Amino acid sequence: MPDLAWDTDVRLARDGDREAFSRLVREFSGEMYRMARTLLRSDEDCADALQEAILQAYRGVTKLREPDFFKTWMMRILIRECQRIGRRRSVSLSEVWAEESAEMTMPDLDLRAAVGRLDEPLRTLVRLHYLADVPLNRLAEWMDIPEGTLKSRLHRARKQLAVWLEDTEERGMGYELH
Amino acid sequence: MSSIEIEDALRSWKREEAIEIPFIVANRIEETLQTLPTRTMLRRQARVRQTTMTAAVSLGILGIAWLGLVSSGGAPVNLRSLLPSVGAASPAPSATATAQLPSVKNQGIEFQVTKVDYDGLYLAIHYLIRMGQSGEESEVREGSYPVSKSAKNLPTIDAGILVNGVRPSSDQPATLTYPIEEVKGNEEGQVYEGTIHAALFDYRPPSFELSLQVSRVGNKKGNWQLNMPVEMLRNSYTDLNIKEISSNGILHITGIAANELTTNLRYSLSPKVEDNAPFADHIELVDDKGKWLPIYFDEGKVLRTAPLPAGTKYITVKVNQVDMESDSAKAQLYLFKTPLNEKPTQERPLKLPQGDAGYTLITGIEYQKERTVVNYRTVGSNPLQQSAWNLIGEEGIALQALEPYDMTVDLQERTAVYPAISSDEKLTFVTRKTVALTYLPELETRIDIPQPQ
Repeated sequence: MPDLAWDTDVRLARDGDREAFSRLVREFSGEMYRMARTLLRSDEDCADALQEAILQAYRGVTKLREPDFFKTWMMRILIRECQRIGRRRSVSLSEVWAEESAEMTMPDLDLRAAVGRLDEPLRTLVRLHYLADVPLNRLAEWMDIPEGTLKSRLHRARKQLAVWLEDTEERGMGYELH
Repeated sequence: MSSIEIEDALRSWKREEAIEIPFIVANRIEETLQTLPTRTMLRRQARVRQTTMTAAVSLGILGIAWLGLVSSGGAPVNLRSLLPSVGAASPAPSATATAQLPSVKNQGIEFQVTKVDYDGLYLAIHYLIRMGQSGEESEVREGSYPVSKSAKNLPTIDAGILVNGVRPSSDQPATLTYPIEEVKGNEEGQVYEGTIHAALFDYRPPSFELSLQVSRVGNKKGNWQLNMPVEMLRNSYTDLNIKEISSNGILHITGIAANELTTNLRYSLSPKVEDNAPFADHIELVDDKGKWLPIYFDEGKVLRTAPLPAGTKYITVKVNQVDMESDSAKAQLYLFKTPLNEKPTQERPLKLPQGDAGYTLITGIEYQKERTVVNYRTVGSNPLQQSAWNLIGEEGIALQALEPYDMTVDLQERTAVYPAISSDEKLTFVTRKTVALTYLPELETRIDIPQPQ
């Protein structure tokens, strides 16, 4: 959708135009789905998260102060919704491995499992930045957190992962020795 | 691992491939957008207590899901056929062994289960409601999303079921809304009856403990909980060996099983098409009065449809073909909205586009005191799917027909009957891109139904 059409639709949606809002969502749905899929295990959960995010956004769009902020604002709503559903699901590690281990090597499995153990918001941050390849400056907008804070959180996450994975390697060596 | 190694490992995670939105997600997005309320309704809702949107959007899905075939990249699935249908099957005696059926009273309303049928996949729970005083017929519940206007503005109930303590289908909400019909009124109050239909897709034990949880009857919220054991119905099963062979392929029917809930046809269909030809072949059943039997589920080797009407002497098995490369097959859920700007007539009908299948002509609207009758004619190769259009009222709510539309195969002029609508109300017809069907008459066959002696 050309920028002018997008900007026009955002302003129309902010004025209460339901069709304009729908056009925006359709245009943006691919990016939203890819983001949701990064954070959630199943397409059913992604559908739930997108549905709820669309409804919340529709209720709140008339209060959007800056039309340029629409995508960021929608992503924020969606991230919160994905986190809420992710907490509700509390997928066990064995389920994680069953879904994602088909073509992975053991070190990859350990890394994914370790990321899954991170507390929020570190887990979301790591998945969005590394798996979905979202640049830090955009993440800072979406999560409404200064970029510097995100960098230090990522550093903390990496340190934690290094500790866990080092433990895993040591346990593996111990088993082989026996 | 060092921090640098962690960083490298995490960076190697990046998704390289483009991810297409799968059907289940695209469908949900579209249905959510189609059922967004108008700003007027939104402001009205803002003044009441907020509840979850899930049940309301599910009702929107029920409304939208009347519309035609949906393709999921494989064989098309008849979405409407997966809807729970209201209305009991033909009243044949059931072989279900159930203990004494329970009843419970709450809020001055007695809820009683009168019969439970289960055929190993489909479950039908028949019940009676006795109200101590006249039930109000309010359709808009406080704190709820706007719902479809129910047939005849009847009361409805919210109910959920558990099979051995688990929900029977993971993709449905915990509770659904069901309409009920008045049986009789008397000096003591009013009596209503209804049937809850469910398909146990995820978990189908041969026998189980059923929990029925009703959270609302009419405008009364409450808690009616009933538990009862359920066993599977016995099918009447007939082995068959019917083969139709033509240059278009082979249809082989090996058996038919019928009960009060479903008709089940065991078959194989081997069309003769070139390798990789993008065609999908399906069968459908028509009774001896020329009416389609609604398809509940097609597992490829077993076709499950609605039960046979009592006294059915034979059914006809028809074979049709869909071009999966056609625009409508690839369109998935694509909706057309056609506003009603002037009263249509036979001479100047309102044309509703429906993709490759053709179109529907609205040839008249009669605004009567108790109801509104819409006259229409489908023009195209898929009249069954083409008849499944929606009528949206001014508030963006899908209006629910008082009677299911006539599913007679060869009928030309059809009618849809709605509750009374004001002639001033702005209406919009919603249709969708519908696949064209090519019938293969040389594979058509008739199956005689054994009659009781």
